[in-house]
Amino acid sequence: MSSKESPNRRYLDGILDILMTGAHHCRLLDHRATGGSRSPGPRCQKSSPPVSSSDGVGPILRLMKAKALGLPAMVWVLASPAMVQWLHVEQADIPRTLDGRPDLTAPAPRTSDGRPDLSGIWQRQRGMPPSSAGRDGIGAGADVRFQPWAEAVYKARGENNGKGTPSERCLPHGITKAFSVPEPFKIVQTPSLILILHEEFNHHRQIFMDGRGMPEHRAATSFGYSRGTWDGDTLVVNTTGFVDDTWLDFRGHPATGSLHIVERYRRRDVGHLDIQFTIDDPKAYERPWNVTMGFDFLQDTELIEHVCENERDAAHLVGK
Amino acid sequence: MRRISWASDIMKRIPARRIACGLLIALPLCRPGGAQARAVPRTPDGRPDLSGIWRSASARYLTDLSAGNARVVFQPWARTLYDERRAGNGKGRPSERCLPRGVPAMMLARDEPWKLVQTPRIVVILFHESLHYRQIFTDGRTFPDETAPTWLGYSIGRWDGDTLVAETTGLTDKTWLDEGGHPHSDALRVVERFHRGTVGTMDVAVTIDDPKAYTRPWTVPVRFERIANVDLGERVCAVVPANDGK
Repeated sequence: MSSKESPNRRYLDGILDILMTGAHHCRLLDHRATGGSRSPGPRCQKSSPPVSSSDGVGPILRLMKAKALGLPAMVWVLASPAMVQWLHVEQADIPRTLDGRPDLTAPAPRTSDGRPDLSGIWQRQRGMPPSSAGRDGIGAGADVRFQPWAEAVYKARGENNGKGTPSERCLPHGITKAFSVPEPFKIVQTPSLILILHEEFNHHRQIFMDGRGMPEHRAATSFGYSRGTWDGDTLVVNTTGFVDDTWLDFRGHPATGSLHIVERYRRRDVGHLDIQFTIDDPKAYERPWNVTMGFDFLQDTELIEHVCENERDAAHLVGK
Repeated sequence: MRRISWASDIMKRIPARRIACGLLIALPLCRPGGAQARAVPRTPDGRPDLSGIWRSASARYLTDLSAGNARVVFQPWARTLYDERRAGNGKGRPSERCLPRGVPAMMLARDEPWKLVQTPRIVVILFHESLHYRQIFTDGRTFPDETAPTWLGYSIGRWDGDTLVAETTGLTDKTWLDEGGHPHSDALRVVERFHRGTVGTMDVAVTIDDPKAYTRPWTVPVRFERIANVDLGERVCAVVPANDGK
């Protein structure tokens, strides 16, 4: 993302990208346009083919395509960018260029204890596949070797358009699925605890930095139990203690209670954060596999609350 | 021998730290008085540290936030709606459908503790209930000009001495102030004054200022107690999609 783009413009483009590649997140429009809430389901419209377009005319072309698809509510929103919510909150602590714009290529800031400071609002990098509901989900490009039962489950979920994903019931996404959505998240970093505040569903996650071990008696959860350490300038997070029916993405990569996720967070510079995920679940996969997701820093703005409102959105759910 | 025996008897009755203070009176730990071991901790910037896991000391406020407060004077429509909700035993409240209770009700459930994480620029409250969170911005920002109403509103905090004062607006009128059904309008402004009086207790004076629903603001003192040596779990209200079972 270039430092000259406004977040608002960027967000709109993101929405258009997502719409026109037929992803699950058309509900995002509800949320940012009318505030407060969106649907929990994997998608609310059938997929449409991606539209190739060059910058500049792209949004308009895509807008026209959207009209042709007969999505009047979305078109109304897209045609009225002023209606899309975007909170402007000036942040004093961002390095800026001479013209006052955030300097997104400046070195990553550091905390008082000398660690890279990952704090900030982050959003999935532009140019990434628009949704983890796509053909290979987050596994695109990765060497994924399923166990036979897991492959069968994965295939069936593809045929069912991902029906049955836990978020249909407003249950948490879990780690990788929550990062795979276009909605931003915020990192709040303290020396002993790092918080991840997901805009999606208004769910939080804790990463304990105080050297604790895995508790002996603890109920399994969707986000698991996360403990972090620093490896030089990289935050390494180990998470276990997951529920048995994790969906790693909207496409439906399965995982079991044996899942162990290792995340490696690296803030390259002010504007960019990379997270490498290692998925290690011997019950579901023959060997661990890696995925890296890139995130862009969103400056001078704030998360907008989204709460999963089941009854309002159930009608949008598709799938067989 | 007798003296030693007397001394050891006394030692058993006096907390070890007080004895240490008596012996090592010059140590900074002991200087301001014997109770320092139980003093409320402070952050590096000198504020009281409110961080910790807390839960309401009483279930009564979630049931009835006014708790018999005579200063609660309804506007007529609010009185009617409250009476209707009471007559229906609170049926139709948002929490029935896994929706957030809102501010302040979300803080009040005794069986749903929350964790406060305090940093200089932001205070985050993590809820056990539904894995939700609240942000209270203490970085000096002002309220945004215009936002759509949300379940938990937009909260700005400032310090008044040792008290954190959080002001919340932008709340949807879909929430109830308590499970008993005290209504509110979109004009609701909630002010919470957080004061950690001791290590184990935090008193929060909750002010409900909603001129559309009540003729004057009213304040309720709610006490929270600290839960030590545990961490929050994850309890999420699982929803059955409405189209299931067709």
